[in-house]
Amino acid sequence: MKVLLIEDDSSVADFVASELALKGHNCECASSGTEGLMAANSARWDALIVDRMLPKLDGLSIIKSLRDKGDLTPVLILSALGEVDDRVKGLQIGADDYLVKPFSSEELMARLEAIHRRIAPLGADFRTTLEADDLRLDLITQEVRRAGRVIALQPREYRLLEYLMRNAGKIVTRSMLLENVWGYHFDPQTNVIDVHISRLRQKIDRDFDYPLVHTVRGAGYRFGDE
Amino acid sequence: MSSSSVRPWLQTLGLQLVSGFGVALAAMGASLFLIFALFSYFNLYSTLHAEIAGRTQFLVEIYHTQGLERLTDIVGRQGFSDDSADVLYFLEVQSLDQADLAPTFSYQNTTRSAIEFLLQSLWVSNETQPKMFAETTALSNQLMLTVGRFYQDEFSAINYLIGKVALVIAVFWVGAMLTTTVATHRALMGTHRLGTELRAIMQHNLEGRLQRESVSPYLRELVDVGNDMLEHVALSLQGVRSVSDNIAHDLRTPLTRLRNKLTQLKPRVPREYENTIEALLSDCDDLLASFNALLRISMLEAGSQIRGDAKQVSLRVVVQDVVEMYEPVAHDTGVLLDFQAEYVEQIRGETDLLGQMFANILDNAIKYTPLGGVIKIRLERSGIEQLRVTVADTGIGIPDAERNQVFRRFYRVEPSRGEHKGHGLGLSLVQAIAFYHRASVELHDNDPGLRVVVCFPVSLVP
Repeated sequence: MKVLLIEDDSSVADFVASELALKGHNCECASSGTEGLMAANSARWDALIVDRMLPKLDGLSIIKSLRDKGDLTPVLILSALGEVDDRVKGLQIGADDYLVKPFSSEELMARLEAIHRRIAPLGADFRTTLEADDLRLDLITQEVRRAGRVIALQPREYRLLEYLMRNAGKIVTRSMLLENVWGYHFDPQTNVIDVHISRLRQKIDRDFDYPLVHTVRGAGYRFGDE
Repeated sequence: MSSSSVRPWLQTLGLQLVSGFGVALAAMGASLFLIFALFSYFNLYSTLHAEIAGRTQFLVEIYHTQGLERLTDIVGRQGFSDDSADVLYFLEVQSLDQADLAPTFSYQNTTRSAIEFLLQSLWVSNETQPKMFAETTALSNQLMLTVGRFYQDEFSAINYLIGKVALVIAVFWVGAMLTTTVATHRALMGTHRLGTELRAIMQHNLEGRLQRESVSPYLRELVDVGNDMLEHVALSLQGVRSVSDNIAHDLRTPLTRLRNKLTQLKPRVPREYENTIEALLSDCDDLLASFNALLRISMLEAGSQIRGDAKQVSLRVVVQDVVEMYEPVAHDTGVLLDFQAEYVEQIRGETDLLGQMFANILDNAIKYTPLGGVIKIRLERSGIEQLRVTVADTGIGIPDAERNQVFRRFYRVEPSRGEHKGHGLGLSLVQAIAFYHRASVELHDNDPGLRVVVCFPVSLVP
C-alpha cells in the first residue's frame, strides 16, 4: 500500500512511518499542509493519513479540496481533537475514518486497512455467503453453519460474526467493533466487547477442533488465520 | 423556566407603577378640586356676608334715627320696594330673664357662620330646598334683628362651574392613566422581550446578538451592554475551548509518543519485563481515559446546551442498545437486567453521548450489585413534559450524606476505592451529558441499592 502521511509532529510521523514500513507498506511524509496537498495531487495514493492541526493549511481544508476535485482516495484523519462534533465534522467533510491521538499502531493499521478495503473492491462485493475455513454464513437466510452444523446466533452475535468475517485475516479493534457492529462511538468503560466476543466464541469455537476467533494482545481480534 | 415565569412579575410591576401614578394623580386632582370648591364657596360667603352686613347696618341706622316703629314697619313689609324676594328680615324680642341671648329665628337649611356655610356647601350641596344664610345683630338688650339671604341661584351657578372643573380633572386623569398604562406596558414589554431574546441567545446560540434597531431608544444602552457581555462570554468560552484544545494537543501528543515508544520497546526487552511494559501501557491508557473524560466534561459544561434543531433520537432505542450491550456482562456477574420501556416520543440528542451516559450508569449499577441482584431499567413518560429513565439496582447503594457528592469530579465513595476499578469521573460525565441535554439526574435510595433517575424534557424550544 502506498500511503501519504501529512503530519507536522516529527515524532508521530516517524512512528507511523516505521510502523507502516514494518508491515511492508510504502510511506511518504509531508510536514505542512501546503506541502501535503501538493504531494496528494502529484501522485496516486492508496490512502492518506492526515493530521488536523497543520501549519499553513489545516487537514480539513486539504480533504475538502481533494473531495471537491472528485478525488476519492481513502483518508484517515489523525487528530488530538476528539470531541463528538470534531469527529462528525471530519467525517462530513469526506474523511473515511477518524482516529484520535494517541493511538496504538494496531488501531492505526487496522483502520487503515479497513478503509483501504472498503474502497478497493468497488462494486465487487455481491457475495451472498461468507465463507472461512469450515464456517459458512448465508447473508440472505442469515443461517450460520460450521462443519455442516447449524449454529443459532442472536441478532447482535450474527452482526458481530458478519463484521469479523468480512474483515477476515485482519485485525479489528474493540472500538472498530463498537462503531461498526453497535453503531456507537464512546468509551464503554468495562470490556463489554470482550464479553460479547467470548459469547460468540462459545457458539462457534468451543465444540470444534480449532478456534476461528483469535485475540491479538494489546490490539483486538482477528478472524481466521492470515 | 422561560417566559411564563417572567410575566406575572412584570405584570405586578406594571400594575404597581400605573396604580401608584394613578393614586398620586388622583390625589392631586382631588386637592385641586377641593381648593377650587372651597375658594368658590368662600367667595360666595364673603359676598353674602358683605351684603347682609350692609343691610343690617342700614336697618340699625333706621332704628337709631327713626325709631322702633319705622323699623317694625320695614321688617313687617319684609324689606324695601327695591329689595329682591331673596332677602328676609326678622325682628324678635327676648325677655331679660333669659340667660343668654340667642336668635330663635330658624329656617330649614339656614347657616349662620362662615365655617357652617362652607361645610354645608360641601356636604349638603345636593339638596333642592332653598338655602339661606343669616346673621343676627342685637339692637338693644332685648331686641334682636336677623337678616337672612336665600342664595340658591348663586349656589347652583357655582356648583355648575365646580362640576365642570371636576369633569375636566376626571377627563384629564383618565387620559393620563391611559397614556401611562400604554407607555408602561410598552416599556415593560420591551424589557421583557429583551430578556426573552437574551435567554434564547444564552441557551441556544451564543453567536446571536440583540437587535439594537428593534428596541425603544431608552433600551439601547441596555442592548449595548448586553451585547458587550455576550461578546465577553463568547470570548471566554472561546478561551476555554482553545485552552482545552491546546491542552488536548499538548498533552495528548507527548502521551502518544510515550505510548508509541513503549510499544516499540516491547519486543526488544527481555521476556520477564514484557508484563511491566504491558502494565505501563495499560496505565497510559487509563490516564488517557481519565483525561479524555475530564476534557469532555469541561467541554460539555462550558459549551451551550443542545439546540432545538438537533437530531431526533429515540431514547428507547439508545437505552435498549446499551442494555443489550451490557446484558452479557451482567449475566457473567450473576445480575439480572430487567428492561421495560413505553413507546415514547423522540428527543433531541446526541446518540453517542446518550449511549455513554447510560453505559456509565449501567456499568456502575452492575459493578456495585452483588451476585443474584436485579437491575430494573424503566423508560416511561412522567407527566406531559418529561420522559423518565430509571435504573434501580439492589446493590450497596450510596450513603445519604454522600449522594450529592458523587457527582464531583474524582469523587469516589470510600469503600469502593481500590475495590472497584474506575477513575471517579463516570457520574460527573453523566451529569455533564444530562446538562447538555437539559435533563436532570437524581439519585435516590432504592432500599437496598441505588436508583438513578434521569428526566428529559419532551420538547425543546426550537
